[in-house]
Amino acid sequence: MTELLTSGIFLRALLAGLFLALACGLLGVFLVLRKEAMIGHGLAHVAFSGLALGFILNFMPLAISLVVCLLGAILILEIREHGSLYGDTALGIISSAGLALGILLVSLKRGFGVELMSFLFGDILAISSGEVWFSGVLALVVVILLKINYQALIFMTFDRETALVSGVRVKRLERMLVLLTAMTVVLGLKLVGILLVTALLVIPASASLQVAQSFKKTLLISTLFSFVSIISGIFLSYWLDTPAAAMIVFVALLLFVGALISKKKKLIF
Amino acid sequence: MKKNKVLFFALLLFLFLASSQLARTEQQPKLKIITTIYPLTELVQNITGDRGEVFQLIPTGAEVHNFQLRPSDVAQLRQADLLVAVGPALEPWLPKIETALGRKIKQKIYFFDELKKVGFPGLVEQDPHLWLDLKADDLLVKAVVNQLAELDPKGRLYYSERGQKLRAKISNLDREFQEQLANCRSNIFIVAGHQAFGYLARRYHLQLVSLVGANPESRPGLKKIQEIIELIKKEQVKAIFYESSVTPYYARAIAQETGIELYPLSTGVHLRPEEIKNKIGFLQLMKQNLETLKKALGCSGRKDRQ
Amino acid sequence: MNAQDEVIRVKEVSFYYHSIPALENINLSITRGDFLAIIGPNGSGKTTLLKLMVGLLKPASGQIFLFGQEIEKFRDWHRIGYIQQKAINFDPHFPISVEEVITCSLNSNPKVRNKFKSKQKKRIIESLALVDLENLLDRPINALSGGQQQRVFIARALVTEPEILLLDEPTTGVDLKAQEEFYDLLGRLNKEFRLTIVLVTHDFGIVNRHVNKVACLNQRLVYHGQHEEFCSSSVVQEFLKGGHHLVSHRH
Ligand SMILES: Nc1ncnc2c1ncn2[C@@H]1O[C@H](COP(=O)(O)OP(=O)(O)OP(=O)(O)O)[C@@H](O)[C@H]1O
Ligand SMILES: [Mg+2]
Repeated sequence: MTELLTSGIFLRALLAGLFLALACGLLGVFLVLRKEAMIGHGLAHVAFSGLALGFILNFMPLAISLVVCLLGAILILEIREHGSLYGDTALGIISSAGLALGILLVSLKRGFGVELMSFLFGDILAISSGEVWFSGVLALVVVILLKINYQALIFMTFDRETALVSGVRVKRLERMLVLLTAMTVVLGLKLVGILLVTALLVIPASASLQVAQSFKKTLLISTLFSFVSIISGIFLSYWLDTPAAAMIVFVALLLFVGALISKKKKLIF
Repeated sequence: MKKNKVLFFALLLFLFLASSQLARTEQQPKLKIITTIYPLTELVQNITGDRGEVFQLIPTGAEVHNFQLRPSDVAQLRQADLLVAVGPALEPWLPKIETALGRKIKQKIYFFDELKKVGFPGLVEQDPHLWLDLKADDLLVKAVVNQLAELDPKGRLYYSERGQKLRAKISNLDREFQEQLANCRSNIFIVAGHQAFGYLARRYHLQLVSLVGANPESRPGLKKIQEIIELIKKEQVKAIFYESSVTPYYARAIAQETGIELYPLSTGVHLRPEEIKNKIGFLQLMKQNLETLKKALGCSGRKDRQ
Repeated sequence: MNAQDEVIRVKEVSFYYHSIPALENINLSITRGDFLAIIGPNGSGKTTLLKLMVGLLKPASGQIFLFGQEIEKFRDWHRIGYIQQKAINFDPHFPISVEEVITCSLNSNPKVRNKFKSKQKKRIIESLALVDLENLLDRPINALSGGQQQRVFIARALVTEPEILLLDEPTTGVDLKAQEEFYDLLGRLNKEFRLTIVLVTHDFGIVNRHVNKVACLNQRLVYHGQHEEFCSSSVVQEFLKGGHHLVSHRH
């Protein structure tokens, strides 16, 4: 146990995981309430095509993925704004486009299947110090931007039209949320993989929504749930010798079920 | 005179038929053989030479387990005389392909089944990396030679000659492995990847420790990583190996903890771009593996002892 | 009339939804202290007109002035309070307390934020007191009755100390007694604080005694004038003959 606590691998995983959890826990609340929970999923697909492109060009796949993901995010907003589509149709279009492009790129080259697989489940137990720094900076940026725009974000999430009339720069903030999500998704891709990054964006936030009575508490509880998922996920990975990413999501699901029960029992905060 | 004419025409007809027969043997279509992965392709190609045409279903480097057929692959499969594959542990999708084709492929050689038939020692159902065992490769070559001779009896001699040569090369390399991997500073063989080198380790008496099981997609648990780190520290292991075709995230992370050195090994399946470009052969890759192992494990070899 | 006192001016405004006209050549002037009721049948363009006046829609032609300034250049949105139609049809699971609903409005604009910098909490309680809800500060909004929710939105609109309040059918789904209380409150705000009010409603009868101006809308402005003249006006009699039930029987 003491070896574990001094192990660099463990500490890096924990630290980067907590940073990711912070970003996901906070952003997730806004996404879920804006009924955009699947945007993480859609952007993960877009990021996937970015990774494929990176492997084809044989140049910094994660960085290329980030760029592609940001472009995809902007495209989703543009289509949504000018296409007069229902709900998450724009998201569906872009994410399928991303996936199709990814598969096409993979089949064009057919030479990096295994490398790409690494991003299905992420490698939180094998990240470099540089990636820990990146997660830290991302989390900091998310916290600062959300803090600065906190009231405006609540306003527009709760009542977009009135917020617009009150002079809240809704479009700019929406863009900010989507771009932050895109960055978080790419980081999540590296840490927990394409399949699970959506889970971290959605599950803690949804769990928190079951029991929280105010917006502030929703954010706090969501972040708390995220933290607990990451920490206990990594510890469970040690004790049960199972992949960390899967355990993290498993704990998050348990918390969600717990929150549902707690709501039934009128145990709310 | 009339008789002569008849004779003449008979002769002409005979010549015509004979020549057309001759032409047909010369233009006889080459045997079409489908393989799944690069090591099989390499071995089979070495046997068939000009008499056969080998098509590798999974491009070198693509993911094997979730392989998907392209239309052109189906066309290739339709014309196949022989399929050489490893077995369901590696290509679980093969039966589905036959259903898709609507018929059975004429002849099949499954590496695993061939070994099972002769009671090959140490077979593990879930571990498909048979080609990394040179003794197993030898048996495969034998089986392929026999099957080809059956499909193309005229080439019997040709195949068996080429087969002999290949088997000699294989057993030479095997002997080199035996000799050079004797007397190592350490025989702890840590692979920060999936369990691909089980057969190889067993053959040359290395003590294999892999990060994950036989499936390259699975992720390791933290406990396993910590155990390996402790093993490295306790036994003062100097080398950790990774699969040369993938970025060694885990090996790097472990190296950062322990200061251990990284060495690439090839599974022969996923080649690096430059290896594909240089058309490096499977046995050459194995030879490289031997050099790497020797250097990394600090082996002095049997000859030095004398 | 003093130009300073003109709160909103709508000048020759037309609006189309995908080339189908919703409003044609509207001219309207709202003066400080007015209590204007906009009435008209369903689909007559009342909501559209209100949205144009608060800048949510851009006129196809014509101009709108807010406090004498062209709407494109107008930035002092805290001077305007807006309560949209179906305001209480928000997501019923949204986790937000009464205090948070009002706080976010108070911070939506740097000018108001600075104005109430150190006395935010006091201002929030003040505005809630106006609608008699000051002791429900910590309640989640979805745990209030429809009428209470409606009053919270009034408080949210009032917290920035606006000079004009625009309400789009604010009492749908609220019982009669609560409706009457609600309009009494609007009347009081109008009289005591000289708050300008623009109210879109179907039920003219119930607001009758608070209102001093009326606009009848049906794609065009059918009538716009002083309240006293309204009932006798022949235009309105025509309008009513169209079968539209404007005047409630209770009064
Ligand atoms: N978003 C829209 N797109 C297209 N047409 C619209 C849109 N909104 C309103 N309309 C049309 O414009 C006209 C005016 O609509 P508006 O909502 O302004 O009416 P209203 O007077 O507020 O009606 P109600 O009393 O039902 O609230 C209607 O014919 C309506 O069908
Ligand atoms: Mg309306």
